[in-house]
Amino acid sequence: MIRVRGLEVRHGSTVAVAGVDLEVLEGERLALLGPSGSGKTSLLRAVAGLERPAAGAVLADRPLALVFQDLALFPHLDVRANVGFGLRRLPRRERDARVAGALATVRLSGLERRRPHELSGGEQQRVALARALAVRPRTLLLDEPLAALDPDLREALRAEVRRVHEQAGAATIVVTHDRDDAFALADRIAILRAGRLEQAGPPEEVYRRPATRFVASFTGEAGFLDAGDGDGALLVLRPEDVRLGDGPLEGRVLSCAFARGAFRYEVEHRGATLPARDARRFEVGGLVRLALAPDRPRVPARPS
Amino acid sequence: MRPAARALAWIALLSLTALPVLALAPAPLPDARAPAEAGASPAALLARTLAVGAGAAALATVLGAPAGFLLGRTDVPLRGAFRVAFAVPLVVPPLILAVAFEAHLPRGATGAALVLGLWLFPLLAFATEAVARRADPGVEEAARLLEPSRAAVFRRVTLPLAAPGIAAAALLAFALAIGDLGVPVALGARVHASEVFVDFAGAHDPGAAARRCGPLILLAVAAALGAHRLWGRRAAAAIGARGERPPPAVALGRAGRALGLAWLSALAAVGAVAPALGLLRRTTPAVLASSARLALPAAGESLALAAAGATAALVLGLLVAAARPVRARLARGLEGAALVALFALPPAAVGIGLLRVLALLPALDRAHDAGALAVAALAGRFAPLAALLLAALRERLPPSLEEAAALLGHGFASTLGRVLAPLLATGIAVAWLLGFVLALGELGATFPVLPAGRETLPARVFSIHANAPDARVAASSLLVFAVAAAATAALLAGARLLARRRP
Amino acid sequence: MTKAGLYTRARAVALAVAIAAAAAAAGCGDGDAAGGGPVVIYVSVDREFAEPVLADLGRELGLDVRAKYDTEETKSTGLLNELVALRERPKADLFWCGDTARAELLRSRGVVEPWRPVSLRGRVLLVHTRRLPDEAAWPRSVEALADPRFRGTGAMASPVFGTMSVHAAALFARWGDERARAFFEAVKANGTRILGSNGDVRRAVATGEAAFGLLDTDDAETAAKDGAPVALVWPDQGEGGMGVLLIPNAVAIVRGGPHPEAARRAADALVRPAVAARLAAAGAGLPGPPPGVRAMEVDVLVLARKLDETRELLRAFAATP
Repeated sequence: MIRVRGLEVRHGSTVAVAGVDLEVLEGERLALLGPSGSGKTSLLRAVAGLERPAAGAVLADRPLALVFQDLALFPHLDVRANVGFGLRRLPRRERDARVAGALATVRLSGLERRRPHELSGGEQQRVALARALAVRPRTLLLDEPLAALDPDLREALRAEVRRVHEQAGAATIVVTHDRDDAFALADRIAILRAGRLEQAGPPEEVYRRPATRFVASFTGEAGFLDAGDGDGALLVLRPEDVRLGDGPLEGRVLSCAFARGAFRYEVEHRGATLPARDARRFEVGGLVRLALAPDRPRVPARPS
Repeated sequence: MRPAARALAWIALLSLTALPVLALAPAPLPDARAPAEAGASPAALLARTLAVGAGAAALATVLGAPAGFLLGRTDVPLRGAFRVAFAVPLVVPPLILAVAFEAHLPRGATGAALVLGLWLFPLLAFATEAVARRADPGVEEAARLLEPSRAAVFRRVTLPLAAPGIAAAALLAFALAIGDLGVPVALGARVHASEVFVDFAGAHDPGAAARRCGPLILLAVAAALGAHRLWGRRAAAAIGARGERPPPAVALGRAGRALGLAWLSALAAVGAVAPALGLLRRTTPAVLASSARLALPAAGESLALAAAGATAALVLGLLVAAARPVRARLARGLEGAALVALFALPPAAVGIGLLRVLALLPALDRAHDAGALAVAALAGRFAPLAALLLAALRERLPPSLEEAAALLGHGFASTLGRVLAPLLATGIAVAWLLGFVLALGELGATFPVLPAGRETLPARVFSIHANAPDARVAASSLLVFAVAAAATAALLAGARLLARRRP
Repeated sequence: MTKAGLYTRARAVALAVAIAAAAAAAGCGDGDAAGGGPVVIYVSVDREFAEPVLADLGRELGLDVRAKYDTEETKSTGLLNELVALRERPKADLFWCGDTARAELLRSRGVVEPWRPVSLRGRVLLVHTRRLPDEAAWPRSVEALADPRFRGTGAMASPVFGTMSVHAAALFARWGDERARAFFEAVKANGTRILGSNGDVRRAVATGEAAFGLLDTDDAETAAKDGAPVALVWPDQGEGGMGVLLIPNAVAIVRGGPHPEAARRAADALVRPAVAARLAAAGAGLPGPPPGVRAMEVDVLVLARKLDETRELLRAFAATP
């Protein structure tokens, strides 16, 4: 397992990670989600032992494997040597067996003799995964594993990452700035902002019950409506919470765009901009009837 | 393990460079019996040293900077050939250049400044070329839109942006010029370097030598640090230049090309061809043959010493470069400044310092007799160069490679051997060859610490210069020239070969 | 690591080891020349002449002769001072010195054993025959350097090093401190060039930069061999003149040297008349006092003492421009 307590990481005078507590159990996949500069990579590197914390403690079971964002494949070694690089203490036969097994898992058997520059982007990514897998890690860390890939490749690689994780049975942290990747890959999502942990929980919970306005915005399209309590709380409204065409309320269509088979709307209602989706076409600038789902979560008004 | 390796590498480096120089320092008060110091007053000596250094640097800049622009930014033909030609005067020991031209030079400080300027102009040329090539093409293109005159763009944009880099090279040239021993002695110029030599080697007066060394070392180190600072600023001047894209070559037009060609040819002629021809004319085939025979042991000595020195320098330099923390940038940091300063230490001061260390530590006697002190002097002299080169190359590698190796269970030594060294193989070879070629021409650092009966080619010329018949001096100098030129050719061919083999 | 990677690495390592081993082999070893072994000789005599003599000597005696030469700038004093400085652990076996005064100095300090003379050189005047075509107008004495008739046309070497220093000591010994000091002041006031070494004086006279100069017989010989328009003048030969200063070379065995047996053999070989004759034939020295030339009478012990005493004064003299 991975345990982080009160972790603080500084780069010079800047605080990259400010007091984070986290736990990841064996076999669990945690996604660290956040914008660039939120400290997720620093946190990951601290777990790996590449950065020394200014305060707090980090515990991670060994063996530990980290897949770098730039993959860090050794250009002067072939695939087999790359994948086997962490196995030098093993006798030759076992090393070869592990390498073969890892390559089989990522479905790259047969490419042992190739050099990294002779592989495609997706193949290189898989070699990096195989290298991590070969050491049989109990802690697996992935830094933006899908960032450099084309959208079509991403889907395929997501499956690869899941497979590798399952094979290793490790406690896994995946760092990403892309919420689709986070949702697709994780058992739990932890959202970081400016070095602080905003919320951590299963994807559904984080999506449906965001703790703060930031989390709500970052995990999906959201509109914020004054709850009317008088304490300034806001209701979080997702596109699926807003039904257009009929309902007790009225709003004005601000914008309309076509995406993935339906129209995406921004509708103004009581001073708030609400997201909505509908297959029908509504006039921009015109009025539209709308209904809101009940029991929407509340978040404090302050952006933090 | 990395911190330990780093400490060890620096301790070794400093013991070979700074330590001998410091050994000169605790100079006792002037011995009551010791005579008053011969030679000019300290002020006059300083003035002459400054004059020689500044004169050499100025000449080198005037000759080399335009050449650098021509090589780096224009379409003048035969650029590759000129680069090869310019390598020759840089690699030939300046003493040989002094001998080659001595009939046509004024004696004293003026002559010394002229020869040293000729020796160092390639440094300015290559540095200017490097700076010109790194210029941000966007800045110049923007300027061209606003200012139609190409000459004005050059004057108002290109030149100011290149100035820090050129100034840095000029400062380094200054430091190297004042540190040279052979030229002032050969031409009778009385400057710090020659006086220090006479003080120690002649009078065996370590006190006087130390007192004279002090200003020399301070000047050289100050100039080197200034150069380091300016070179760093050059990098900052190219703001926004993510440019791997070199700026476009300026088309010169027929007249421009002819002029440029003439300038470069003149430099190549004076620097590479004229010395050889001049020396050849002053000797006869018979003398040449007998000199070659007499100089054979010295030639063998030079080659062996240079090989050993280059190897030691490379190992030390590689350790210094590799032991730096992965994500730290060397060139602009404290270590980079220290390395430049160590390289600029006057070689004679280092050599004499080692001799002093030998006097203080009898245990080193056997090492001295075996020639190991001379190897140590060469290692100390050129390890900083190797370190700077290899560190710069290492910084081009993604730091994640070394981090990945560490996470995969490889310590410092294993990462160095399996990851860094293979990836830096070309750089390592170039660093060795460079050290070898420069070590062949080294005089100041090795001359004091060579054991009796063993001398290098430059030391031989230095020793016979004053009273052997001119024909023999010319013949021996010609031999040194030939060896240096051959070694340079090998260096460049080797570098080309290795560069071509990169995947 | 792949096989290919291992192979290139092994090759590189092997190459490095080979280079280092070769260098070490070239570097180490006290050598074992047939029979004799090494002998370390410090030489303050002109290298041009000494080198072939020593090479032959080495071959003849089966010795590995390792010679260390002074440079022109530090003539005689560099090696001498090193011998004194390292007297506890001398590196040299033998000192072949350009003058007897210095050898005597070393002997009196216990650094070397009693010395023996080899060949000798005379302190003579060299005249540029085109600048001074009339033989009757040639300088005939060392004192011409201070003579207003030859104002600004003479040259001499710095009296801090080499044979000039011995000559200065001889003048101090002969004339007494007062007169000698006055003479040197007058020399300077007369505009006489004071150059770095005898070699520089030779060059200056050979090119005509100076009309005449004071130097050694072997320098004069070299100038003549180079084909310069020069002529040699034996100074102070007239009635009551003090005569020419003749300075023999000296060979002295260093006390406590590393190879005493070889040193003895080499020293014995060097003092043979054949060597002196050979040096004379090469123009490096005279086998004996030249016939018909009057020599200055000197007491070498007095000379050595004066050399020591006048050092400071002469340094100051040479220092001010």
